[in-house]
Amino acid sequence: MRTGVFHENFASEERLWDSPTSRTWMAAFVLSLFTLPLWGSDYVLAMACIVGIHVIAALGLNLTTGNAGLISLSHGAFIGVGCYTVAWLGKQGVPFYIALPVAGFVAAFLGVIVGLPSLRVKGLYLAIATLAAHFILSFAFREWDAVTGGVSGTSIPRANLFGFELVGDRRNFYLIFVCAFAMAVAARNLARTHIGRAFVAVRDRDISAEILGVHLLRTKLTAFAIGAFYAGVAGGLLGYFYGSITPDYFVLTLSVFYLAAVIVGGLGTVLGSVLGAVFMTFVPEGLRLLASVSSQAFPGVAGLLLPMGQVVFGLLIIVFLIFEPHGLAAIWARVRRSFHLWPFKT
Amino acid sequence: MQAGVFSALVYGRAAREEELRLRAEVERKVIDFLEIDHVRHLSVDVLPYGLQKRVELARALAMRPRVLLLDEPVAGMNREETEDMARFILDVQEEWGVTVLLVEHDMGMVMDISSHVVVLNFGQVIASGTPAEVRRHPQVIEAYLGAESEALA
Amino acid sequence: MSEFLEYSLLGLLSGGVMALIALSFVLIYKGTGVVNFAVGEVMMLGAYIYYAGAVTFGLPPWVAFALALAVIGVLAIAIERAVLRPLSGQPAVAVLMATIGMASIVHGGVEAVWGGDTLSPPTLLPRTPLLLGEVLIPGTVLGNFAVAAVLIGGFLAFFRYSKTGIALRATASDPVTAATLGININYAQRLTWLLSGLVGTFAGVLIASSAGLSPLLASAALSVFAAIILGGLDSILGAIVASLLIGWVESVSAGYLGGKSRDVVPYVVVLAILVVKPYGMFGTRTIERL
Repeated sequence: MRTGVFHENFASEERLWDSPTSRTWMAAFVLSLFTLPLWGSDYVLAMACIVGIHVIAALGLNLTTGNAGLISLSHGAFIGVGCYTVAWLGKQGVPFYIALPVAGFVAAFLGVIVGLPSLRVKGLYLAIATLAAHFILSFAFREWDAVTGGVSGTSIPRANLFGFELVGDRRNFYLIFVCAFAMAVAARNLARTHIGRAFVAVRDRDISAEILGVHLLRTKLTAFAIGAFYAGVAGGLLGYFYGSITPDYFVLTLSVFYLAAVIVGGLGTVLGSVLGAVFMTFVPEGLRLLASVSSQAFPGVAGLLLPMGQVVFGLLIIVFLIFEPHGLAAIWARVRRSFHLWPFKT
Repeated sequence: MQAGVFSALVYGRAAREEELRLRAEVERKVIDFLEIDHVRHLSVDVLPYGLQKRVELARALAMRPRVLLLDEPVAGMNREETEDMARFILDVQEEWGVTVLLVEHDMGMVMDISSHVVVLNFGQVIASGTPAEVRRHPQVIEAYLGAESEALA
Repeated sequence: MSEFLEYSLLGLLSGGVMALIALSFVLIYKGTGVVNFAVGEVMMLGAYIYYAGAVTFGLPPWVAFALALAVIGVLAIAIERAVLRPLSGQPAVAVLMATIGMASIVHGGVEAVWGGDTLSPPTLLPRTPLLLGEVLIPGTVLGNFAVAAVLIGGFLAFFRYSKTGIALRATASDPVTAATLGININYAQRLTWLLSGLVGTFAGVLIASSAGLSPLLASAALSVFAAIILGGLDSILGAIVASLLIGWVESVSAGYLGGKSRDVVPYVVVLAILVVKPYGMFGTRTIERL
């Protein structure tokens, strides 16, 4: 039973994993994921890749919406930007370790442009402005044939590490896992520096934040840019994983999906992004399994799968908002606390 | 305060040193100075009113001001809290060398800690000087206690 | 020239129905401060219930319409009670997401029950086209516009002159003070949701009976968001003017730049206007006090 962590200097207080216990758990977690290709089935590995991509995108959205309070409905479009950038660069022969960051930066640049209205509007007006931006970008995906292949989509050359092609789930998994872990740590780092604090100040009361010396426009644009960067990288990894893509993947529903993941998981925390992404990925999977199991008893259930998925999705959001507004991360923290204080009650 | 975005993301040397420097400064010079160390990890809305005001003062001090503007800092406080606040304001002025501009109605506090007082009545300046001078000023007395009624005079 | 006239006229007239959808949204925002992303879905559900009544149960069209109004009315009140009331203290993101969740539930439910194909409910209004010189206007477009105009005129008068309307406006601008003045704000907010649902049903049935019914109907509401933000989130007059304007812009651009530009031009216009007039043309500029 652990009652607390005792710090003796500021440096140890600043650390991300501040006790030996948490460090051990983290190491075990990382190790088990790292060796997943050895002990996981193909299905598990494919799911892990998809979850990894969702985690990265959710991390980005959580920084923009959860930490900085800027509701962004254009996240799906940024993911598309990353994906198409990687596709186009791949066709020019650019290797993935350059194409991926470039995709992030291109998305970040567009994120800054989409964030420019925050100069004049905020709150829900800004949200609808991002909605408008999403539609404009979707239009570009459908119409700009030369780069995006138009409505029929485009293929993405596989990632290539000096001749070692990253084809298949096992190889892509490492790339995705490394990116996801690094970006999650980066997000936590951001939160403990002045930029992260500025985000939270802008979220809580931007006028007060300005009085305290926070540069509003720069902070808001940074929030959009970093969130979009994450989305761009996620989109790039998506491209490398799937190998081909069409514009009807990057619809408004995708942005809403990530917004739901972030809210269900917990706004403003990295753990929330991870939990939310995992949860929202496995709910449709669970439904699919349920449908395939019950389709022997009830034929025709498969046709209901997509709409029922939407119903469940909506219900989950509403249930979480009413009963656990701080999301899965809060539930996780409660469970952890009760473990730490056992046998005492919290 | 200027580690860049990239340094922040990777928590490089610049960000780390800046954070440690900020922590040392805020913890020692502000939190210890204002004796709010015992509530450091609590959420502000569960603190008593007097402590909340002290946290506000701490927040202002964290900006390393040269001039500190205080608008009715002891409004709604009892005697003990007022005395504490007055002591802190004096300490701020003496130890930090900060110029303090205080707007207050609590005459006791104003007269005790100010070096220069300006009195306003309905937007007009009616007196300006040291506390002792202002206390004796006829217009000030009239504004606070009222003039003799003409019918009685 | 007559081409331009035709596009303009068609655009303005279709803007009339858009104005109904915009009205449905603005009513809720003005009355309860909630941004309702489920406007399109509620409208669609109303149209589907009308279809169910008229086609599946064989009721006469007007009876089916009344049925749809009744069902949506009850649903609106149920939503207000079950979902919005528990969330009343929470930040805007939460409520927004709740409406998105509701939209998802309704959309999925409708697709599960009626499938994704396009259906043809019976029309309520005459179909005779109108010939103005060289310009041909389809009867449904004219009829929709007429109904929309009457409804909107009615609402404007209601909010301005009737006691209930003024009570709703008071609740919208300051619920606490309205409560101290004796207005039952729970009833007022419930009424607002009810009215919004009814208006949405009108719009849904009008569009469905003239353009066919499918789950895509809900996305008609998306271009209305452009109009809403252009007009100002909380201004009824703004919603109407902006809807007409966006309807006109869509029609003219579709005519001259091709049908696809309909998807993107309204949004470009919106973003451009936001830079110049951030609160929309008629929205009230909120002054934030610390």
